[in-house]
Amino acid sequence: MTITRIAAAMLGIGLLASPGMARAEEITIGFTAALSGDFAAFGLNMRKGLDLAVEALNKKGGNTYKIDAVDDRGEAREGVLIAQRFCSDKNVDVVMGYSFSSIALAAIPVFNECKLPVLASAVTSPALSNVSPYFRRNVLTDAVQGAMMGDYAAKTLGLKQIYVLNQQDDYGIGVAKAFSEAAEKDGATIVGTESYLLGSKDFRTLLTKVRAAKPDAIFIGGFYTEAAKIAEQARALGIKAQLLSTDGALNVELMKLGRGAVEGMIVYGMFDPAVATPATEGFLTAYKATFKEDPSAWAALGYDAGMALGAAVELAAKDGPVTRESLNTAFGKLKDVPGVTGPTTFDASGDRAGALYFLEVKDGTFGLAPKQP
Amino acid sequence: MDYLGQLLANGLVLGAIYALAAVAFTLVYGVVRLVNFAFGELFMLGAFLTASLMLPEVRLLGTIVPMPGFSLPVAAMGAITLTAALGVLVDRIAYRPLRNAPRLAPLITSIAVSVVLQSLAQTIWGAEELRFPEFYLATLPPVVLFDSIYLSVMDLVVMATALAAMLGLSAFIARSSLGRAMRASAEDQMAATLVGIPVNRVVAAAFAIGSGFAALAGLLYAQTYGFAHSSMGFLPGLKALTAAVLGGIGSIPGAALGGLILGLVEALGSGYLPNGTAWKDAISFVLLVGLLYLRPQGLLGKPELNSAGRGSLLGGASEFGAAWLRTSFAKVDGALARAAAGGPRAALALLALAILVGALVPSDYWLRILTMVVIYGMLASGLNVIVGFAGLLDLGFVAFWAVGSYLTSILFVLVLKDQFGVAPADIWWLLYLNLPLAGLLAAGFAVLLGTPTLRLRGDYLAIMTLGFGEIVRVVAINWMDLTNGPMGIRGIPAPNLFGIALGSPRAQFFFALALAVLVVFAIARLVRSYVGRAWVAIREDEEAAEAMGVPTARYKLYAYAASGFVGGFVGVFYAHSQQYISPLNFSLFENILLLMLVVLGGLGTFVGPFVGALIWIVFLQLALDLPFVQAYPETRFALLGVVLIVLMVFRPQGLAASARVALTMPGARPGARRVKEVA
Amino acid sequence: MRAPSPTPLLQARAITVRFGGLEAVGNLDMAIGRNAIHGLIGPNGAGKTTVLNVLTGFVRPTEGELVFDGAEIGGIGVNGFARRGLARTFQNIRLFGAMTVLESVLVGAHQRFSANALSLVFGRRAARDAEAAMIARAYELLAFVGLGAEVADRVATTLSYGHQRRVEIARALISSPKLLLLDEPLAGMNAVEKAEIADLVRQVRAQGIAVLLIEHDMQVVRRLCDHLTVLEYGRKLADGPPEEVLADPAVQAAYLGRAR
Repeated sequence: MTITRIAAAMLGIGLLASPGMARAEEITIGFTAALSGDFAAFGLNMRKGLDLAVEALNKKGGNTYKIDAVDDRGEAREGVLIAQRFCSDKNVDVVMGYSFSSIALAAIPVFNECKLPVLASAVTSPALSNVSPYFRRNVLTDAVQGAMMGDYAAKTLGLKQIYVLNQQDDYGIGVAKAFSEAAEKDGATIVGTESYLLGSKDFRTLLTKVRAAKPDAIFIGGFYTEAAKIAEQARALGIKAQLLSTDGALNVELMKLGRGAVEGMIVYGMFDPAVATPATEGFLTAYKATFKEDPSAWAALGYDAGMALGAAVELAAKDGPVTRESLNTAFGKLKDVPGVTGPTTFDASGDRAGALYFLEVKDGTFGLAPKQP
Repeated sequence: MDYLGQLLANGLVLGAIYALAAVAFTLVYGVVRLVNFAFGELFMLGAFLTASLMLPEVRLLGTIVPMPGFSLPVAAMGAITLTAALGVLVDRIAYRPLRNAPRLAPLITSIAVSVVLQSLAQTIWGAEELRFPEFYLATLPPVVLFDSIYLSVMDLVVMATALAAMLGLSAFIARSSLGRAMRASAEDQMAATLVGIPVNRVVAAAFAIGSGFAALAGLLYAQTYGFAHSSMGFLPGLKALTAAVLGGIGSIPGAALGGLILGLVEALGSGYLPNGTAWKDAISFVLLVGLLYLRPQGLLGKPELNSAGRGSLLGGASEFGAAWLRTSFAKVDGALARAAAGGPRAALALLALAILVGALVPSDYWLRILTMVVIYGMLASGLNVIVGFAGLLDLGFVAFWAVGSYLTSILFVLVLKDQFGVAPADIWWLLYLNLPLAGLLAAGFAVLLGTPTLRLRGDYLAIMTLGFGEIVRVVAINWMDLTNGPMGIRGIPAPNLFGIALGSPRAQFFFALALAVLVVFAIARLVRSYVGRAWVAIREDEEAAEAMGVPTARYKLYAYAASGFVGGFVGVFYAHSQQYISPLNFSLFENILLLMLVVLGGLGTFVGPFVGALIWIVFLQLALDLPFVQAYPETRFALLGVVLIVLMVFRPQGLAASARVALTMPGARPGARRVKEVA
Repeated sequence: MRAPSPTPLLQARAITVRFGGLEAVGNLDMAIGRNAIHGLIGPNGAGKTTVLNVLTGFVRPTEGELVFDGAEIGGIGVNGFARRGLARTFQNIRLFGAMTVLESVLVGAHQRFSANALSLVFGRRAARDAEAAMIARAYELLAFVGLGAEVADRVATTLSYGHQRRVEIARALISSPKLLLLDEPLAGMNAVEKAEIADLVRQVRAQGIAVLLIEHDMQVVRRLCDHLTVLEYGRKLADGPPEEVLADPAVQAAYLGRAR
């Protein structure tokens, strides 16, 4: 099967399904993210969420969905190739996933060429706003989220002296900048800013520096892997400041890795496993049953992306066969698709409006923080 | 004072771990002159095995498996023993068949072994970090010195363990008969064989002890930072190697000293420099480069070890392999050799084939893949100038490539478009100007980097160039005003000629092909002249070359310059073809990848780099469609690693090894026909 | 006494070489005349190769100076020595592994090429002519050292031992040196080959190239050389015409003493 497909692709025969043919019944999702290598966890989580959504959609009957998963390994050179792979495979109707904004950015010119709609779930770079009429994401940009957290820290929590740490990539830099600006506007002082490379393990020196500045809070603009280590090493160095972090840290792994040290850390995210709505309830149960673990925010976003796709396909199918173009139009028309991260609507820039929950780690789980804005 | 004190304490803990892992590199290097990159992964396995043995149950391959739940010391002993056994196994499978092979072959297999182990670990233990279990001592309150220096009890245990292990090893080497045999083999393997020392057993012992040390370092590291993860070994492995080289590779006290210095410098550097943590990795490599410049053999190393290393870069073959396999490799090789011997006519035929393929392949996807093959083939050709022809193992080539890509991207996007509002389409010609310009800039850069490496040979040279490559990458990440940092530069215009956009996959393929013709032609013209002869002479016997009147230092720099020129030149096109670049594009792995392409295809040949690129890239794309790769994505690289090991073990001289390049100018010989001599 | 010759081609003055604490060569004075076949002999370990290494720049003398062709040389790097006209062969043959005979010989002509990178890449006529001229010269030299044109395209290291030595000599000669330094060129050869090489050395000298020769075979040395320097323990034991030197009881004692 596989070999035939490759041969067919090489020869360019067999796959040229004529555009007029109605083939709305099978939707192929091109899924790409870092699924192996150092940063595979986000991609694999998104994949699990999407798998669950696809399962639910297929169970519903009508249109069927399948996934063609391609690992980009977090390597930039793969971005263009994978995009072209999806573009050239006429069966692919939509592309989902993406762990890294940089790889999505590299892929977008190719998607523009072949007019293939993309619905990403974990890339938050503001550079992706307005980047293409075919690109959308169901996650808030780090500029928006960071600013909301900055307001929350300074106004709601009343923190005055904040030390900002960020991972040295587009995500960390973006979120830290937005956070700092918002917090300073609301009267807090940023007593220091330091960045670290993604994948760093040793933060003692960094934290020694932080300790000398005597902040009353530390904001960690990064992922849970580093946030857990920073928390643990900070406590070991006797730092008692309030720890704040981002949606990158909103992951059950945070508590597994950081254990007692992350108690009291406040993070934000679009998904709160503790908020019981009928939608989340069902998702939580199904997820736990399938994967024997709690879903992360990425899994929730992957699931919601799948659900948004389901809604868009239904919408598109109303006006004839589902094509890349009609699907893209349908995405633009979606209104308040219910999901576990709240309702999904895409604005013209391809971004999604939404609300943030501020969550606190308490007794090893995320719960709604006592103070909400 | 309390700040400095805490930094020193942090540095000591880190240094102790680096030192332990450095011992692994140094021990094996001393005995077999092999930089075993796989120690980083054995380090990681030490951590995973210890953590697994300590837990009551672990999720392996997605299912929960009951575990003994040992305490740390027992689990550690178990993990060290297992890792040591694995180290011996790796040596037996991947390195021993290559003892007399060209000297880059075992280096490549060691990288391949790394890739396999890392992918396997991810398959087994998953992509998430595994929390390292609590140990009684780790729950004790920290020791607070002078009211302000915090050290956990486990930090003290780490330091004490490291010290004890080092002293134990030194005593073992000095006193035991196996230790003495090891020392003798390290001094002179030939002599050791003659006096009846069982070299294979000594090597196995070195691997066992080295792997044990790597595992010990890994588990201490995991315990200190509280986790285990499949990729955790890469950077510490690199740092440990740096530490070993810093101290003088082959010297155990040197490894200890190197580790400590590195740990302290990293702690102090990141503590006192502004935004030091982000620059931390660059700091250690700057230290390495500076030290090697002043003292090529490292702090306590023996100057003799700074030599070209055993064996030829090219000659020699594997003593391994089934007959049918050898015959089939020989057939491939023979065909390629005949093609190469065909001279310009064969080259034209090959080009015609490429044009035909480019014109007929209907799939844009495959055109993109083929474009990638051509780009990587060109880059590998550039690397081949320095590694394959001049024989200088360069792990920093990726820096030249980055210079080219960044030059054109900065000019087009950050300067002209963002500062002056010039539309890229109006200045399409700038691309053609940038090609040679970036080539020259990168060549200048290459000479700048090459100069301090002139006194270094073999593996030392490799490590120093690796340092340069990493420095450039860290600069690209952190110098945001220049490079836009990790956000990268987007909106780089696709190639364009007189207003005709060449952005389509097919146009890009032909663009790449045209550049490849230029690159290969220019390289061939240089190699097939007195310049190429000087390079090959340097590769084969630097002293003899010098005695023949070749100013070897200058010609090494020429090789760097030529190689850098190609890197910069191709980098420009790469940026325009990708339309987006970020520091992620220029990682150390890319450089290792290029090196693998060259070795896989055949060092010192013109077709080798392209053959290597074709196999690698097409394999990776085809593997994507395998059903179990879809289910377990990380097995794709494991598979690739296995293929590499098999290729190297059976065919260490590369697929196109006999496509030997003539080193005289075509047309300058009076009708003499080449008679091939297959060595 | 012979008539004082014009200034010698190469003069070594008070050369001392120490490796660590060990003195390999002590206070050696030596002069190699123009157009001489100069033998350097001595028991094993006497420092002969070290002297040759000093004379070709491989070893920097701890003390002393070298004057070649009227100018002091030193600190010019090994390739500088070669460029001034000192060409050598090696005791254990050092041909370039992956090169053909022709290519190996052409490496010896390195200093005779001057085309820059651009004219190479664009294949300028001058560059091609220079290459063609050197290739022709290489064929001449291969014939001169007694090798047929048919070996030109064989990988040099696959030749027989004797042929490899000849390739090394051709590789040294193509730079048109003023002094050819041969480190045991006859080692491992049979009588016929030895006679051929000895003859070759005479022909080299006939072309106006002086030769310095390290050799153990006293028969050949006696017949071939017109001047001998004898070393023992790194010091000069005797110096002069072969008959005189070889008759010297001290020299005989040194050889006999070692022979025990």
